[in-house]
Amino acid sequence: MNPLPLVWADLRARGAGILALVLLVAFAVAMGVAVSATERGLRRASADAARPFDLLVGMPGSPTQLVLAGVYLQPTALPLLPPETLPGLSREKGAAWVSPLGFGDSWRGSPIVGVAPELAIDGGRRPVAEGRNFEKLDEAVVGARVKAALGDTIEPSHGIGQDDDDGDAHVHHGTHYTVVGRMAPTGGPWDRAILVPIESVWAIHGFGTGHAAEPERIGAPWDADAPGVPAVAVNVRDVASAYVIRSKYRTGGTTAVFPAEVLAGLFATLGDVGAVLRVFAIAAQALVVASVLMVVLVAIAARRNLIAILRALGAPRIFVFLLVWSEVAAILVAAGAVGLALGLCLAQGVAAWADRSLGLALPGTLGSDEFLLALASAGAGLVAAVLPAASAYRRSVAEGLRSA
Amino acid sequence: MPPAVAGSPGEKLAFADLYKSFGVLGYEFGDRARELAGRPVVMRGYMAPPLKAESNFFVLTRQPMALCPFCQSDADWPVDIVVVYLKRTQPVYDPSRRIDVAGMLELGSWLDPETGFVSAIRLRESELRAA
Repeated sequence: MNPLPLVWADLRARGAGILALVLLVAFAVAMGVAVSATERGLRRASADAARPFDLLVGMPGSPTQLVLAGVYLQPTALPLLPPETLPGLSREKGAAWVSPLGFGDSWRGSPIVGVAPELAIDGGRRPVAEGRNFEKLDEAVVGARVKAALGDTIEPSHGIGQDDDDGDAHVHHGTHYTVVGRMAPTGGPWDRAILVPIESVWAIHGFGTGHAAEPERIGAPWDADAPGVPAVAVNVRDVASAYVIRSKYRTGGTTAVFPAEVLAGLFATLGDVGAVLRVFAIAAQALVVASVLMVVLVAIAARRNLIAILRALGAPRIFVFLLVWSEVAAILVAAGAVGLALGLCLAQGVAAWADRSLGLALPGTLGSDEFLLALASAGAGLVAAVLPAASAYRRSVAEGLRSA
Repeated sequence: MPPAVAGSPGEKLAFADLYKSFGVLGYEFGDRARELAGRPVVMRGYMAPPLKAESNFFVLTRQPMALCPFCQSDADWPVDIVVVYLKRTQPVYDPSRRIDVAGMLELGSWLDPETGFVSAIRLRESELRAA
């Protein structure tokens, strides 16, 4: 005998209640799925954002702050490096190219960063998506997501979050850049940045251009007495040089860090937090599944005479077992599937938030980990469903009929 | 499941055997390193601070990269490093902890297309565990 038609009829008869149970379990599954997907996405996105930066050199202080300012463009007041650091770094044999990072100004919420031309194209590995790289002091390349078109004029102001019509805004009057190119997307906060020659940032602040002999020149090599910069990004030729330059610039009043070593520490913390959240999500799921099983046990008790009648009509014990088991299993498997979908929505919500507030492009997709998680919880549910099924299986017919 | 470092058939290779000479004009690989090239070896060393996040490679050094402020000088940094490519991404180890790495020895200058880094000595398909 096939119990499935009866299972289906029973589920349909109690549609609203079953739907509530499915959603209850699905929400618990979604929590676990979203936590797992978000943690993986954050790791991936922040590692990708750091990829173009091999080594950052700055003044001694917090390596985390240096990385947050340099890679993730979080507004931080970094002290200036001594003038000889940048020219010294650009002469290092192991350095493929170096770029100063001059923060501080902004335009309509986009940070303006003074850099070397190589940074806009990642040393040639990421050509501009539109237009060309900057070649003159008053030219700018905008990040992939800056709302400015080629040919637009950009007037820098201090700080972030000022509008052009703000009366008190500190505007560098008389200075403006023309947008000549757009960077290819990086998936990181640099997509919202505006890249200008570092020489123009120095000039705006009255420091000269770092090229006394050729005032119009941009890029390396800079004069030995070029103005200071808050941080320098170094792109190295080979693995050994990365460590040589790192050691060399960790002494003598500067510090050098691989963004990856800071990220490794942050990821370890993130992983710990993720592990705690996962434990809570699994505990919540176990509680919800337990309460669903309780509901089913109560329902079986309430309908014990129906089950007894089935048995009296000749249904074997195994039929009753399969009937109850299939119903519970159907609820839990459906919940796993709905939970995956809900988890995907949650993960995409978090991704949208990270995009807005951190400038990080999280994939917001589900990986094999999340599918395994949903499968595991559905699987555990199938096993747990044996409990109420067995209780229905054991019930005696005579007793069930008597209590009718 | 412990990585199969201990039981794996790999010849032990020491950092001292990697190079015969290392100068301004270039370097020459050691006899033992040349003899073991292309074969599975086991090396013991320390994991240097990671160069790239979420990647499958790290740098193995003879000495731990100084965490001690009294030892830190650029002269400390040795040139005989080995770039280790892992079979799968593994969490970062404490740089002061000794590790064993088993992998296929590869010699000669090679440019990693993904990172753009050049390296001279590599271990491929590697697995690691604390020594």
